[in-house]
Amino acid sequence: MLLRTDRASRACYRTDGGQIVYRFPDAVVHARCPEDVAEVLHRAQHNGTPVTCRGGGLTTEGESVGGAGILLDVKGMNRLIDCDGATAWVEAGMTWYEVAAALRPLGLDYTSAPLNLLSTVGGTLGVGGIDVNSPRHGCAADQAVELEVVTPTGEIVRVKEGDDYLERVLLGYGQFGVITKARIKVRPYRPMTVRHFLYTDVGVALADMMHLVEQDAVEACAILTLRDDVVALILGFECEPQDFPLRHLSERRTIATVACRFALRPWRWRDAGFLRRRQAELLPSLHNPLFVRDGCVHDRAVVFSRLIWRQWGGRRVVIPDLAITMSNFETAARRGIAVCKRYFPYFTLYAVMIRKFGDRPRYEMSAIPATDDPHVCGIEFSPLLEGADYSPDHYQRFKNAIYDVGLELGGSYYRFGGVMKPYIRRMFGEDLVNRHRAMKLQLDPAFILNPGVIFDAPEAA
Amino acid sequence: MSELNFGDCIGCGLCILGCPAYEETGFDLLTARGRNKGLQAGLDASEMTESIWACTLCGYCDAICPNDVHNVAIVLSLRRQLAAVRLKPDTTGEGVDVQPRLSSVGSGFSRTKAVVEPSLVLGCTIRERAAHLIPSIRDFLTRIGRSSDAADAASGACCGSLEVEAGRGMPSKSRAGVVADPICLEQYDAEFLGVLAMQHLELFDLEPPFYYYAPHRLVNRDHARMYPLYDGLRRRFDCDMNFDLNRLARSTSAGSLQGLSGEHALDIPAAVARLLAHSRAERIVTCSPADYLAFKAYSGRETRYITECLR
Repeated sequence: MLLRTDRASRACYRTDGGQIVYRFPDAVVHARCPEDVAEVLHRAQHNGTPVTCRGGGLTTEGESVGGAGILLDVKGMNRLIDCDGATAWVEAGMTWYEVAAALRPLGLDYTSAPLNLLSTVGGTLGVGGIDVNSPRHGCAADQAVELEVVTPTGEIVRVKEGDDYLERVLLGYGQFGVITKARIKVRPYRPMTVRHFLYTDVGVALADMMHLVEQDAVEACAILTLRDDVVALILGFECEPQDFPLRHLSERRTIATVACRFALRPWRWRDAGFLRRRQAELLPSLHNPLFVRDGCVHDRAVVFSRLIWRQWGGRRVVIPDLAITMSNFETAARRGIAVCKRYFPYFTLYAVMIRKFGDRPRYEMSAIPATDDPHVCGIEFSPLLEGADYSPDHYQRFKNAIYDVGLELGGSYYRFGGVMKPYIRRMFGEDLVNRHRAMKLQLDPAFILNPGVIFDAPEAA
Repeated sequence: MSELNFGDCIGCGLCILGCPAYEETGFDLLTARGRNKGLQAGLDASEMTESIWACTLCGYCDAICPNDVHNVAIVLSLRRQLAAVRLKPDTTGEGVDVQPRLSSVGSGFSRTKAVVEPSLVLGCTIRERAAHLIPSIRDFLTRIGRSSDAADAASGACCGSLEVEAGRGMPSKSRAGVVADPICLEQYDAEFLGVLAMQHLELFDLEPPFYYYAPHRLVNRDHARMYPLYDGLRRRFDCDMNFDLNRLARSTSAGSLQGLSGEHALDIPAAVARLLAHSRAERIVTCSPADYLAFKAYSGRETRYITECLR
């Protein structure tokens, strides 16, 4: 374990992926093993020192930005311990990139992980982790079958599927313990052939995706848009690509349709320029020989991760989202688009579906909305800033407006901690939140682990 | 100073994936993201000396950055700032370090500069630590019809690349024919011997299985041109290589300022072990002299410089 208090070390951690919240931690601890984590939490519990746990630091609402107290960096716990061909026992500070790199020589791959490979295993299991193959495999948190966890009071425990504590920690937003090791499902590595199909109506594209998912027809799928003008349904095949009766348009017809929409509306010509610019930048990336070999995308997550940052990253990463039921998918998308148009000239939607495995306790008060459907849906609404910047208040009002849509339609959110915490009680209700907060207090009496991210501290409650 | 675009860093962290300093220490502070976040927070060079000297200038961060932050240029600029501070007259009475920080490099820091345009630049490492490679290098160049008159071998002058990397000099791209050591390309506008080798693979006895260490500084800094060349080798011979999932080259850091000077050096044996962890190849081949010596010393496997594999 190494504790550092110099300004340069602390400056590395003063913001997160969102770059909205800025705070210097008092000290940084680099944990190398579970015993390091246990010692920090044990001492912190005794002294009442706040501990903010951080892996990849890719939260967007300041959840992994520590203020007063200790910033606990767990990325030093990053070894693949063993692999039996069906599961891998990994240290939870491993990034998914490190997991992929360690499994590749064995001919294996992780099952489902976030597109951003800099996320760590532990952080991801705490919040969900949505991949393009989540319609078939579920979220990353559903790939864990065993965990080693350091409790907020500093005990190191191992839990397996069926144990109550495992259900608390998975999708527990870092409130109930620090995951230090995880046994995750793995599968044979297979390159992916990617096809994209264009639409000019988001509702038609969503309906086509839902149909494919219900039929379990493809290994991977997601929808990406440029505003609501061009909608791309992206399908990934690990075997020979198949043809489906989709209602998409050819690229030429898509361009013609969009051009007709703009032709008589001079005030939208600037939008046409934006679409052409984005098309010119994006299409060569999709055919980059670094990523595509013999027509297949190799290492899908590496590709998507790099493209996403290049095409959609920015000085601010503002991604309010809605996690909703299939019946509300299209309504949520259309109402969210209307909100986007009120706040930003350019924006994108990323829409995915996630397989749900029955009614696991971990889904309670999480990004997986309560429903009997076999799948749930998620939409991220992200402004494309194109060099512009706005006031923090503007971003916050935008996020609130999206989250208000969620309140009206029911469901949940993926990013409900940190700055967005005021929505937690409105979304989940007082009883459920109070029950989870009571569990937190039982496990973390001094309320030191990631305080204030999800629940109010005792004195503020 | 517009090229010092640390303000463009969005903190994605892709740069830490293959950063040699991060691989060894796990400290964000020592990565491009760490430096950029420090600079964004208003820190100056004197507060980030550890990070500034940890960078091996391998170029991984520049190649992978989605926002085109010039991380190598930023480090060099910060080193020049530190060097300027050290060379200021002492006004405090406490003494000022005007001794070159890396004086242990020895003749590698000779201020003499070759004035003629050499047809072959061998570099200090080959001249001083691997002179037995010179005949095979000359043999290879002769076979492909290139002059192999090693001008710098006679003069003993250093090209000054280490001075540039230490922040005590600006690059002066002199013209030369062929350069045998990648680090000398900091100072020469020339063809690299390893690239010529890739273009004449028929001259070499490269029987698989082997591990080929591609020069990270070339592959990462000129990725679009260099990667296909070395990937061609991988496809042809199905050899293991030092590319990661991002198709970028990981390094031993032996061919860096730190590796060559011994100051602030990373753990080169550990880096060699990491690179070879998943390779069962018994033979290692490379066109990077410093890495050749590192693999020879620490891998426990047969190691050859590319021209030693001539048929």
